[in-house]
Amino acid sequence: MDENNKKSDYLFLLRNTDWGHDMPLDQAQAALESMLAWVEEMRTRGLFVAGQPLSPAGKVVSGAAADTSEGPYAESKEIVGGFIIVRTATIEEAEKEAQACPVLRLGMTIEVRPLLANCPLGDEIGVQMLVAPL
Amino acid sequence: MGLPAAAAAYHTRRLVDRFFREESGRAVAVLCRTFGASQLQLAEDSVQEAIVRAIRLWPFQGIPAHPSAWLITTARNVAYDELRRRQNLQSKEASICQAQALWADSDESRPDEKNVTDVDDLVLRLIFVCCDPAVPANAQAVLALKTVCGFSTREIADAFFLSEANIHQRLSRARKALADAEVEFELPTGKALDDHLAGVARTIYQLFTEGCFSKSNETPIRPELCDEALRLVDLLASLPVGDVPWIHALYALMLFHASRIPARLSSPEGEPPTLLQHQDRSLWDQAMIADAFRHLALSASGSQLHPYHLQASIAAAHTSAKSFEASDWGLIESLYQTLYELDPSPIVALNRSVAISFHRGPEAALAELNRIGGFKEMQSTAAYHMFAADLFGQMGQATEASRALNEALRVTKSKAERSLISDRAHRLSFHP
Repeated sequence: MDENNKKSDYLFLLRNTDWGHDMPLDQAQAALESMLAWVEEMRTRGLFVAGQPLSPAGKVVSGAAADTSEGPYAESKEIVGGFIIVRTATIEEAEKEAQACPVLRLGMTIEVRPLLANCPLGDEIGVQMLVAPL
Repeated sequence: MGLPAAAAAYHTRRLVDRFFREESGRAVAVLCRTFGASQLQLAEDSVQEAIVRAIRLWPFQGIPAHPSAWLITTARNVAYDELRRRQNLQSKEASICQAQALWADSDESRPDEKNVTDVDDLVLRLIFVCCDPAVPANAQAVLALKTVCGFSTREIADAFFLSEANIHQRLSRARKALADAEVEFELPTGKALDDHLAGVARTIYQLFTEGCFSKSNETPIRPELCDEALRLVDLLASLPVGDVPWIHALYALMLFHASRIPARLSSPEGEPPTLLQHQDRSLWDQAMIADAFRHLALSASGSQLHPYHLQASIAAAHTSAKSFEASDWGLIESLYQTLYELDPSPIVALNRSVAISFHRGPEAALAELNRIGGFKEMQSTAAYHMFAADLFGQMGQATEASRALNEALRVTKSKAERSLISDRAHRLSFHP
């Protein structure tokens, strides 16, 4: 853990991930391979912590009665289709990794968010809210 | 804090070149066996969806150990769920359960899917289905490109110079025709097989011709169409149904033409492909030529003489010559003569007169041209007038030559041809 002391984790939220629709298969394959290479490259440099695709459909639980509905109901472009967690020294470095993603030009977007060791409210009241950080 | 299991298990392995394109045809064929040819649309949509899911999953989880089987299993699950959904439109539960089930068994497919040994046979059945007489003739090649070769409608529209809407229309008519005729996903037998085989061969040749001698001004050669056509004829000739002499003749013919593509492409950027008489013959693909001669030998049996035999033999005669001038023009002329007897088309007649001009001189060729000039199509073919101009030029009749070039300019619709004609007319006026 020591060598990671000065590093933080950043979450990439991947949106508009269904760019493979209606694309000639040769191009779709080339794009997939470039995406594979991008992830693999981060992994070999030890930046890649975790990553997973998300099913486009699921449940949304909300309200005092904890009602469940089918969801998410966002625009399909807005649905988070996957996430990646990278470990870098600064958010700028994480941002640079995201910028190297080869399928951005196909419409996929990446939101880069720092993962915090504690939530801002917890900090304020002096309580550690997150039990098991990555 | 080790890497999560999914990332640790990650392995990068490049997919084979054109994996999706080749696998999509195979997967559609496998699904058609399960659901029937009348469910072609369902099969295609499900395979497309499986590919989209592969793109979404594989970057994170790595390429599965058996990617082909993965695609087929995933597509089949999608199809089953779609059928279930249609049966019970009220319940949305099914599709969600399906999505979750899919993520669960995403990596390994059922063991029995791993070795689908008869897939080639299924792909062949799919080609036959696309060329079923129930499918309108002008839609057969379109449908084959879509289902067997995995082309997008955009790509097909580009290949045939039609609008995407037109392609959509042809595809939906074709699929409806298959469903209405209740075409079975089986190879035909007996007389029906021969009829089908002719349609299949014509479709493959049509794809190849468009690839090799495209009507497009911008891209006169489209290697991807040539590749697909060669892949299909290779599959056809390797299975008992297509292992017949005239299919080998078609294969040889295509290989001879394909072998010259590197030489044709050696022209400067923006210029039309280099013509046979100006090609650097050392650029011809020798491996393809060897393969072409092998198939030509395989075609030389039985009693049936097919136009493909003659076209392949003509291509072989050109290939065997050290230079264009040194070609055996007598042989080529007689091959064209026999071809003309089987297929009395203007274009064959024109080619025969070209052979005559080299073999017996411009006067004999001009006499022949005058004889075939009666064809209505001939008068509206720029190549006819350009060749006439060429012959007049050889005989020193500049006025006649320039009149023929003007006629060529009047009938041509191609930009590339127009510049070629103007260029010749220009040279003629300086070197009459």
